[in-house]
Amino acid sequence: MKILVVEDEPALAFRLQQLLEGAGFAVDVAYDGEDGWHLGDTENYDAVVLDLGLPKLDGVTVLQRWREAGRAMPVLLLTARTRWSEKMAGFNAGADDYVTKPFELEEVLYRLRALIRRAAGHSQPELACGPVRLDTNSGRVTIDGLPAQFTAQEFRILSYLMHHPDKIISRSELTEHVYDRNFDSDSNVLDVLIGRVRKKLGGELIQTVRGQGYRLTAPTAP
Amino acid sequence: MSETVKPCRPAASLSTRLVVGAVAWLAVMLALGGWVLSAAFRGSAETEFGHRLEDLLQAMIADTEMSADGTVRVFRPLGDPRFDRVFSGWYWEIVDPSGKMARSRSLWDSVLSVNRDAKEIQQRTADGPNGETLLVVERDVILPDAPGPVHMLIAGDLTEVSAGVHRFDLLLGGALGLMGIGMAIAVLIQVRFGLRPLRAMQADLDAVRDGLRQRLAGRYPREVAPLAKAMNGVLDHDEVLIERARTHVGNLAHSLKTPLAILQAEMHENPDRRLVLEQLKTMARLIEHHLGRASAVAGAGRALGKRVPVGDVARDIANALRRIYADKSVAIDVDVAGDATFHGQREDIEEMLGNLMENACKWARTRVRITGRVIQDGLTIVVEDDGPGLPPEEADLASRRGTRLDEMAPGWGLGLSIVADLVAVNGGSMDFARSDLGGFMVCLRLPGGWATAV
Repeated sequence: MKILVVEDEPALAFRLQQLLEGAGFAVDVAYDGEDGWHLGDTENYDAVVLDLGLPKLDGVTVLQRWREAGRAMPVLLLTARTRWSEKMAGFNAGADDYVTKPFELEEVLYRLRALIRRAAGHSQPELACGPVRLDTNSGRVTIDGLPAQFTAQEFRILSYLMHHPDKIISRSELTEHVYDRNFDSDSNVLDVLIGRVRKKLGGELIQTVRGQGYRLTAPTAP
Repeated sequence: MSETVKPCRPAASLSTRLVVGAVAWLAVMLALGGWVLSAAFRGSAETEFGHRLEDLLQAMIADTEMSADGTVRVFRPLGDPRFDRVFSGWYWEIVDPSGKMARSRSLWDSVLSVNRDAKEIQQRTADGPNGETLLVVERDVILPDAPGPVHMLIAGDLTEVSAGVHRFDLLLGGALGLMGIGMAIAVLIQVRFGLRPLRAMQADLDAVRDGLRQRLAGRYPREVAPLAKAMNGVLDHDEVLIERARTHVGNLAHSLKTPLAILQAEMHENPDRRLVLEQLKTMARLIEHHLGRASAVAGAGRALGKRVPVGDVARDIANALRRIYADKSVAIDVDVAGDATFHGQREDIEEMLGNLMENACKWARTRVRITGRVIQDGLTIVVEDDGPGLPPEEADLASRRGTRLDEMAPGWGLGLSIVADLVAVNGGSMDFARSDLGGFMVCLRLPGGWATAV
């Protein structure tokens, strides 16, 4: 799961990055509106945290341009403005939710997870695939009711697959959504990671579809 | 609050406009009237003079005969001695068929040109021997024993007429001038009298500005009374805004002192991180609460002539809330009568509806309903939910003090008190009750009406 944070205040941007990476997301950060717009327009993100007051290009304009270009990723607005008339400008431009500054960092995490889950078409906070369960609110994974430990990179792969069950995910799509833009996609790190996740899940939950990619499918009941 | 107004040249005063306009019109009309009268008088005087000359010509014809030697002669003097005084301006001339000429003594040795084409009686002007302008009357006459028509001419000095006309013009000018001055004075008095209520209003405004008086109090005529009323309305509105902003800022300053004191005290020792964090949160909440209310009220209200379609605003907010509360799957039902409008600023109605609808979504189990109707020239908006509800007296308290009713759903108190402020600033009212959906119901009565009833 890859997130774009567009926030001009470096301290806050750093905190958000730390928080989101700690929660198992790959994070790209942009510090002004133009940069943010460009990244959101060219890369595939699972969600965006967008500050409204940005230098060079304001948040509402950035959002408007993305939506006009058909970019549909969920967008969480950060705003210091509490008036509804100001929030409405963001929603009319295509925002999905907002958090008012000052905020608790966990609030951003909680709302982002809900946005990503809903964007993938899940209405319940808990995603399930066979014995594996992912609580999107807390980010906890259980297998057969027992807590399981994953590294951040493993978690991203599992989380992306859990959000898109029964769908063939290509290597490039997985790479795009699991690593930030500085990752070298030619390496075989992905294969190693997939192997580890497979091992932890057990069974044949993750299938390799030759020449196309991977698919997470619940085992059919015997 | 204060808008900077570019300094510009003040427009001419109302009384100057009225007086200058009236006097200019008067001057034009009097001049035109004077010109017409003078022209008519001159015309009539010249006609009269012409008639006199014609009469003299008739008399001369009667006194003219052909003498035995074939010459023409006037056998009796014409009666006016001026025909005998040299170059008096009064002349006659007779040309017999053979071309011989008889003249008045006043012509001496000069000759007036004759127009032989004038068979019937004719008038024209001509220059006299002294350069004076003459009115000439001439005609052909058939005398007994004459071999052909005799041309007879008589002329009088037009200066006599001009002098009369000039005297008349002077008299007329004087009379019209006096009349003009009289009328201008009347206009001046009328304007001063007519505009007296405006000057009284200006004095009242000065008194208000200088703090001698609270409101415009004078009795004003029907035409300016609405202006005074509107001005008093603006003053009332300003007072409410200033009062509220002052209260919020005062409250903020006051309430921040406690957490600041605690922090200050804590900093002397090894600070307890948790306590510091708690106080910081309290301060942030206080700032949000008081400044939120102050900024919501600042610039609110006072939007004469603005009509905001309530249905559109409610539907926009509902769309945003459906996204925000997507997990809860609350059904938001907007039922606002077609073209019901709010008479005020869009930001105000957005803020009121936004806060009420968001609160409703926060508390609702499955349903939120927004109803908008125009009742008795006013807008009634009801926002209700099927949540746990709230005893109305508690809600009333919440709107007044901004107390947080439930820490689990933050912002309840602030939202409701901002709505209460905006309702008051817009001259409306707010009531609470239990909804038949089972939850909380807020009913707003606001200035509004139909979109078409402007």
